[in-house]
Amino acid sequence: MAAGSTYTPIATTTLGTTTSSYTFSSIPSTYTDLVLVLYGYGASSDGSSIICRVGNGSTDTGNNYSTTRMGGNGSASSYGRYTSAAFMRFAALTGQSTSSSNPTSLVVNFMDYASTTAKKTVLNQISQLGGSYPGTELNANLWSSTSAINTIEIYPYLASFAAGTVITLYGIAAA
Amino acid sequence: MSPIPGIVASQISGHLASPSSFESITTITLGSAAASVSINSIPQTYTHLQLRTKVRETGATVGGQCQMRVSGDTSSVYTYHTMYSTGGLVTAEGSFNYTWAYGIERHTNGNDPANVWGATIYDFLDYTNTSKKKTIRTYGGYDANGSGQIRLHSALYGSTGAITALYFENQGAANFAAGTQFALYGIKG
Repeated sequence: MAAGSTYTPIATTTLGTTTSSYTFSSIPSTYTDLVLVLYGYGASSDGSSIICRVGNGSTDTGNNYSTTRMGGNGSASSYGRYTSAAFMRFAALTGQSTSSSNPTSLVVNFMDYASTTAKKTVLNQISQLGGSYPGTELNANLWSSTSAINTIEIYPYLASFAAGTVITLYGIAAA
Repeated sequence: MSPIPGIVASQISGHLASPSSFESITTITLGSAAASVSINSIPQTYTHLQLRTKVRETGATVGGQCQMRVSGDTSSVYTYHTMYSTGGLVTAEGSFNYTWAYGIERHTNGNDPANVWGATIYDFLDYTNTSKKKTIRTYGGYDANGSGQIRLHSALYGSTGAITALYFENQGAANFAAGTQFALYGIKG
């Protein structure tokens, strides 16, 4: 019944220098879901959100993204919605710390990413313990396209990723 | 920092699990609309289970959502706590002694834009243990560019019996749409 190991690292990077954005391209279509894991911090502008664009061949820069979100910072809940946006917003309450001892933990699930009939639902969880904007947040995002995703670009909205930030992309294949 | 697969994977499932210990067990993809989905004869050889779903229903009732039963148990042993937002104020609720695990996820239905699907990730922890009641966590929802819901949910299956089967229906009695997918994975300890 079981099909063997299926949580497969596709690509990983540890940023050697300050980096404004990072792109995974030519992502194989052989998996069912993708999981992106980011563990790192910002080079400047404490509190920058982390955002993402996806596409097929190149990233879609149109207003084809939307997000429904909720979170909390230990004293209050937070919520919101973004429609017809130019990117998915993985963090709105929490913001990247610039402290290497308080890295951001981000996990993103790109569900059924290779489908050519379904618009893409993207779930993300992000946590930030230190810095000016600590908290945790869960978001449901939509890329309103039926194209398969083979390109993912992720970047801080206001700043850059610091050297040492680790970004890994995994593929999960269903039986 | 360097990538540590065990730590990285733990952020997905909540447990230390290297990628090589994550195995596909079975996948159900509906070729036509169906009233229910069953996953039976679940192997008892893993430490945890993860279920990853892509769901839409054919009905047009307000808000699609699943209800679940475990191991064919129809008694009043299901409890839940949930928090969610539809883009507005975060809502928390819970109840107990139900005959179903209610509200365990949210998905799209006939009122929502075409081709938009709900997605939910379920974690069934220590599912073979016969001395513990079972805690189940789900996380997911959907966004439809102006509507949608994000949800974090915990359910208790108030039995010490091992989880051997899962059964899903829509709470509004609508069918699951063709293309609905339930993919079950096992995580080794």
